Amino acid sequence: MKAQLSVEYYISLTIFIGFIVYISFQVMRISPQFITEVKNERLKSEAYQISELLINDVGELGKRAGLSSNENKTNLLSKGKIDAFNSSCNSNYENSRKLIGTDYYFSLNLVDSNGQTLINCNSPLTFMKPAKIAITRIVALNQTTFGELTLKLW
Amino acid sequence: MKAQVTMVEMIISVIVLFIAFTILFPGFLFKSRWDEALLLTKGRDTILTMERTNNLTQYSFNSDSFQKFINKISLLKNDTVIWTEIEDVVKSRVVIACNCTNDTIANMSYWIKDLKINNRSVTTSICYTNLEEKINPCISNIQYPDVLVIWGYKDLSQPKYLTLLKDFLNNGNGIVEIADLPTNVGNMQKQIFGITDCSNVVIPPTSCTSGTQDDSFIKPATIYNMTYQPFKDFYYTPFPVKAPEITITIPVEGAASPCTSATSYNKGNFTFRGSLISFWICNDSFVYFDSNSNNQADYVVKVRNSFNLSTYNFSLSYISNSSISISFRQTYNFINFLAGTTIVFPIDSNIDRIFLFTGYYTANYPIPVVILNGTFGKTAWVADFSRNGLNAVRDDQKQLLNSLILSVSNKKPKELTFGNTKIGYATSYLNVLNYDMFEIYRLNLGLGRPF
Repeated sequence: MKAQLSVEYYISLTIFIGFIVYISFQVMRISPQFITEVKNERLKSEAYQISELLINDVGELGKRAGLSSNENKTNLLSKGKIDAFNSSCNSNYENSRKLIGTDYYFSLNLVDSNGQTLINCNSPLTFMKPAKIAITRIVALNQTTFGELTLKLW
Repeated sequence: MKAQVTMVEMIISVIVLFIAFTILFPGFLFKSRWDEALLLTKGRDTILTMERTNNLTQYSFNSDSFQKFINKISLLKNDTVIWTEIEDVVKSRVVIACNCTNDTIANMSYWIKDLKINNRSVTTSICYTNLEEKINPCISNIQYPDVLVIWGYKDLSQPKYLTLLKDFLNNGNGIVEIADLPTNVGNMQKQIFGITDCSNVVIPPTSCTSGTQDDSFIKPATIYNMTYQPFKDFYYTPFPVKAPEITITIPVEGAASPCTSATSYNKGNFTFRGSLISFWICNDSFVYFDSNSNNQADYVVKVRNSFNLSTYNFSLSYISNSSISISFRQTYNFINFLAGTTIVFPIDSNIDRIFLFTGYYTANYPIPVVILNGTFGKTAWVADFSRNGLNAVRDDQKQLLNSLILSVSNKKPKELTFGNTKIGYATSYLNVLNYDMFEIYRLNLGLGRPF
């Protein structure tokens, strides 16, 4: 009789296994979401950083992209740099990606307040799948006009 | 029975464990607050863009222009609630409640009409108020006006008036009292305006007699002096002098060349001290003055230029169709307008609170014509310059009143602008203006989401 297991033991074991399974499912459910959110955070952070660099960095010819005017004023872009970046991207997208310094695919669009497109730099993935993140910044183009710069990352 | 007890214990344990697990392993919730960060970024970008396009001042004070700017930004069109607030500067609309006659309100409205400071228009909403239960806010959605003007001496010593006025002042608003004061000034004068009878504080009391000299300003030594702001407002706020009369020509003499730029010209009178100087508006650049009072223009002044009349210095700040704005320049003195019966002094003997004075009771005791106070809020008492009728009030006295009203007015936003937003963030930006006078103001741009 001693060797027989009690009913309480079976019930306890069942409850214990139930909890283990519950916790395992919870971890399996939460973990991918958490990892996805962390990845999204990194993506958002990178999108913001790229937009900030494009707007407020004067850049370096052939080495680093930056659209800020040489007046060293935040949110004021240079028309010459805008045109240069647009033509550079349309002729060699990969080079532009290198100048921006990101591993993600990106697209960059700049439209002024009159609706005229000044930069239309599209990723090869533009028409294949929606972007993971998009950020739009309001920028001054000179001392009278302004526009909206939209950066998307894949 | 034993097994039943064990089962009950087990069930209880299971329940306890589930509750404990729910607490220890809460539901997965990842808050990135990315939307809020984007709102803040949008706010900062918007203000910086306003600044970079040289429109910050215009958008700060002109809601129509600001709205047009916002309408061009697709990013802010859809689900964003936007509001702006201006702080620490005279508001675009100053709300004034006046305990005075309708005639006085009409005159005051006319005097301050067309007021421009640093190239922005300042309008006024003036209404009547009694002081029995509450102060008339003049416009809806606010508790109090920016300024209360009490015109004429009132015995408001009862506690209910004091409570009302203290609450009004504690909310950041200001009071201007234009009155000749009797001997034995009341409790309100003492508490609210910080004024007492001269004989209570001045030594010796026998020296308390009325002054006869010209009224002069006590120049503030530092910006921390209470008199600094009204001093600045008097000398640097352009005063709008009206030119309601229409003439076909401008009669000229001496060095003044004829003005032929229009078929009719607006004419007005600039009155200060004992002088009445006629002027004609030639065009938006030149004003012709009749400095020798023979009804012929002999002195041509260009806008934004300084000029001199009757040995006093002025500056022509703006020209509009039917008025010109004149700034007084240092050093200006008034013909004394203190009534002989008003013999008072600051209750704390603080001479720094005396803004305008006419000679001295005795050494170091100036005879006050204007006394400022800041015990509960900003107040100003000025001797009644209108005792001979409102038509006898000169432009220099109107400018004095103007400077007192502007300096004590509430400079904090009052209207509820946050509205029904679920989340909202305000971005502040300090801007400096220096077209007419040096002003620093804070622009708060708020962006929010309604859901």
